[in-house]
Amino acid sequence: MAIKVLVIDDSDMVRHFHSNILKSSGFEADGAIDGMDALEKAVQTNYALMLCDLNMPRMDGITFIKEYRKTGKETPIIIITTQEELENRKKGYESGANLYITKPVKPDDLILNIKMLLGIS
Amino acid sequence: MTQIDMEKFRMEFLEEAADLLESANESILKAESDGNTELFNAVFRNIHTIKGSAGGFGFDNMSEFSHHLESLLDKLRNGDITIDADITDLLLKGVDILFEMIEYAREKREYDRDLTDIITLFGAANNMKKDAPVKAAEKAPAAGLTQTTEDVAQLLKQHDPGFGKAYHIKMNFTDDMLENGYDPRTLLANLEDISEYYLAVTSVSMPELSSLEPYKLYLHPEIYIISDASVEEISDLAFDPDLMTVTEISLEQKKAEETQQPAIVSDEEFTEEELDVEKVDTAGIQYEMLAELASGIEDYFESIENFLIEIEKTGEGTKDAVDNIFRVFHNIKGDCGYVGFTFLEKYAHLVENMLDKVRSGAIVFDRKAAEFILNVISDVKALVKALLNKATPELPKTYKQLQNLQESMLTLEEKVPTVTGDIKIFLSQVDQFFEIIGLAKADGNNSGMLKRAAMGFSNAAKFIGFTDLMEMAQRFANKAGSGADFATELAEIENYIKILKSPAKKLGELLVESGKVTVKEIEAAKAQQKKIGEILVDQGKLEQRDLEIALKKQVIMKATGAAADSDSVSLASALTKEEQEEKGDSSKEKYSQSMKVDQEKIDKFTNTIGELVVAKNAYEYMMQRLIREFDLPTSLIKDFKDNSNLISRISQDLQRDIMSLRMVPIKQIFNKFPRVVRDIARKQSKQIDLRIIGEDTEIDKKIADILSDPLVHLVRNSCDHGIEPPEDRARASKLEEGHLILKAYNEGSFVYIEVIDDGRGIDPKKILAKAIQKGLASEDAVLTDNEIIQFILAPGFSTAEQVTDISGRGVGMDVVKSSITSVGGTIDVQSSVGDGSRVVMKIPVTIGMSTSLLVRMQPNEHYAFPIENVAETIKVAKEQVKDLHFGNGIYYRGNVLPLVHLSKLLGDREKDLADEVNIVITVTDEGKTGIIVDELLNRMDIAIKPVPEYFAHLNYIGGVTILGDGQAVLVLNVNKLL
Repeated sequence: MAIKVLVIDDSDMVRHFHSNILKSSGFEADGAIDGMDALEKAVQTNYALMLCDLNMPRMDGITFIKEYRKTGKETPIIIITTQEELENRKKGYESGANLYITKPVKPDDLILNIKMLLGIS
Repeated sequence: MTQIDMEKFRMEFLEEAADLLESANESILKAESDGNTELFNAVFRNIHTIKGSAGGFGFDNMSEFSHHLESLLDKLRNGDITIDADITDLLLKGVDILFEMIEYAREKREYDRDLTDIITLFGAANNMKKDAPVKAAEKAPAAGLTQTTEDVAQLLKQHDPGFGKAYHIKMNFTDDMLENGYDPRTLLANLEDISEYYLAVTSVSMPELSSLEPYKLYLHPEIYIISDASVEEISDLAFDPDLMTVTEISLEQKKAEETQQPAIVSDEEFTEEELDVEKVDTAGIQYEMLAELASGIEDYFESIENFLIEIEKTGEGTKDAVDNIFRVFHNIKGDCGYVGFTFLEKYAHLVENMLDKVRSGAIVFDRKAAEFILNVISDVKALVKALLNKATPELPKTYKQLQNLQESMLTLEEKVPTVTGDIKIFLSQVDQFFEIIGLAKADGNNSGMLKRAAMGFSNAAKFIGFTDLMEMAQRFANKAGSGADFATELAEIENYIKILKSPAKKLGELLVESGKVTVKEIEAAKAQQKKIGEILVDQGKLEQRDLEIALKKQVIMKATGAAADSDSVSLASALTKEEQEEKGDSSKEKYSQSMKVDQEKIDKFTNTIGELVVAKNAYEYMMQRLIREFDLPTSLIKDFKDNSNLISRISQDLQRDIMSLRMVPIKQIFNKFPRVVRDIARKQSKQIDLRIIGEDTEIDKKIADILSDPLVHLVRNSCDHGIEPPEDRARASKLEEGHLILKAYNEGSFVYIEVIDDGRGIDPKKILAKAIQKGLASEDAVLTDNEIIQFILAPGFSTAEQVTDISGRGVGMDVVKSSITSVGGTIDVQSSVGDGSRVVMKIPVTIGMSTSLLVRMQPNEHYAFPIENVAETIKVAKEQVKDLHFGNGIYYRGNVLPLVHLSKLLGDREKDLADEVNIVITVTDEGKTGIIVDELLNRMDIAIKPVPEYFAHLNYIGGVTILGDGQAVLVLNVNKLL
């Protein structure tokens, strides 16, 4: 069974890209347009991993991760953003993210990061 | 009032601008005819001035238009674009338009001509890559792919480096992507990086700056590249394969070549021998630039030969050495492309490829590789030399070897998957997990974060295959999960990663470290001379799985050097990174900035300063006359003297500076000797250890050039005739390895260079016999051994039992001697049979400028003694001069000092002594001698000019100089005088 990944980003383009990359490596990908949307979808479906943007309308990435972790679920979350600041990274870890990747990231690297975090080869 | 003034300035500006344009016009035409890009600097400045001022006077159109011209000129002066007829036309047209604008402005008319067309042309030219003709760009606006394909194909063919494939790349970037941080420029730069040739065709439709939207993509280039990367590798450059459409395109020319070659091989008429003398393709080489290329290549090679010889000796190439060698071949590749030498470009590319494999750790740079590169260097040198002689060189053997190597490496690569990608990610994740743990600790051991980090370690370890790390992570998770103290477990993980990041270790060490095997078992395995891992697995000492982990660790350690360079930012690595940067800086400092200056220019400068010294002396002379002949007020005389001193000081500074400019470390000539010695040693199967001492000693560049060949000769002599074969040395109970020392040091205004060997030495008996046979010495002459040995410096002397191709036919030593004496130096040979020889050369540090002692003879005849030869000057009473039976002499500091009258030395009759005798005590190689002169004048700095031809036969004249009052003075060569 294919591994399901949720791509959370308000940009259609980024969602499309990341989904494409994931699909080409044999993952299954869903999209969520912001934190609110993601929270709904993550409760309904059991995802193996989530890719999460930081700046989004309605609910941003940090808030989403905090809210999500409150449900007690430990699904690995990778923050993927253009913000390189250390401060943001700290916030990310503290909210409950597992990994922090700065855009742009090569497709190969993204897939490797995901596989490594999931411990699958 | 102000109105009128402004008008005046405007008119003045217009006139000035017209002048500037006039000179710009001239420069542009000149630049086109002789290709001198320097000129564009001047034109650029002209136009820049107009642009700047025009705006201020309200000529906005002029300012705006100048900007287009300026941008193009900027590219030209930077060499981004090369000048051709089309560009010249465009530039001239631009200047014409500016002229027109000035004309309109003078007549106070509004400039109303439509400039859109020409501005478009400027835009197109500006966006052009180097070498791309204007036409392609001119057509580009609105032109589809179909229209440009022909031009593009033409260009690609022209720039086909002979390897790699041609691709067409269509970019599918949208504005949305730019907004999200995906700037296509990175991708474009990466594309250019991997390409041998890169061509971007783009339509130019940029809006005005004010209406430019920052996140809008205006240029949608079609890219054409030639690269040896595959379609997949190119696609991988983009983070999403959808971003680019990469299609391979064929170059007809290339195809034809490829189909032709197998045909030749299969053709039976070509025997193998004929194939062996395959010639190098010399088409397209710009011969007029070859000499420059050759000297560049020579310099490059010299800079790395020592690295190679070092590697050959130690059998190990440091990263620094390999990087340097890589850089050299990379530079050669670039230079060759510039000169149109496609073959050597290809050749250097192959070497570069091989070295790249070394750098990535895929192959090891060992003794053999060093020897191979040395062979390549010889081949390349021969190749260039043949070309300089307008011959068509043969295809070097090393070239074919490289081709074969390339192929075998490609197949090897397919077998061994690279793991660097994984490792980079692995290390960056691990760093993040440490960060998370750090934060968790600060947050009162936040269990959620600790768990996440532990899981991260565990899964990453699982992915990479480190079961031992996985277990550690598990233990850490257990402790942390139960709220217990996890310091030990964390330290264990930290240690594990630290070892991974440390430099590569031998497999055996890693296995011992992991506790899987003992040192003894490793030793035993080593003794069997097989791969350690295999043996241990065979013997059941080690599980295959443990071996794989250890092997993987080894790979990571080798790769961490590369991974550390990657730009992943992490808290943990921030510190180590800083350290690395510091290291980088200090290594940069080692290379002093330098620029190449034509030696002729320096010579000219030296001469000018020489003239300044003469003029300064004239000034002093005139000042003395003024003071003497006119009754000047004391204050004025003082001012005069002060000023004269100032000029003196400045000219001395200038003199010193120009001299230091001319100085080069003797390293420049010593550098080639490791190679020379190595080649001879190899050829004659001798073992020679070369030591170079004092290579930083500085010497005049001109002298260094003159010394280079004689030194090669001396070193060759020592290796060839001096140092014996190992068997002979062993028999003479010497070390089998011979020693050769090349030593340089300063003493006074001289540089001493010594060539010392511990070879068989020179046998005086043999030399004497030969000297008598050659008629150089009479049979009954009583000579010391040292005197006899000096005969080898005589013309036409050779004692070598057989002539070898290394040290030639014995015409050398006298040539060596005359080279040394031509720069005012001396040479001395010392030798002792069985112990070796020592050649000492004493060479003036510089030529051209010297301090001299001026003396007067007759009523008005002046001579100068170089100050190096003057020990002291004394005045004695006539009575003190004693008549010794072979001449005059005085009692001087407890010794008898022979005296000679200068007029006698100069071939005049001997004059009677005056009551007071002026003596210059000179020092020469022969010892001290007193020379009687009529009057001792002052000592002064003089610029020595070479001896005029009609004096050339008088060897006691070292040069000529001109005094302040215009009188010519002969500078005496005291060594020859006596």
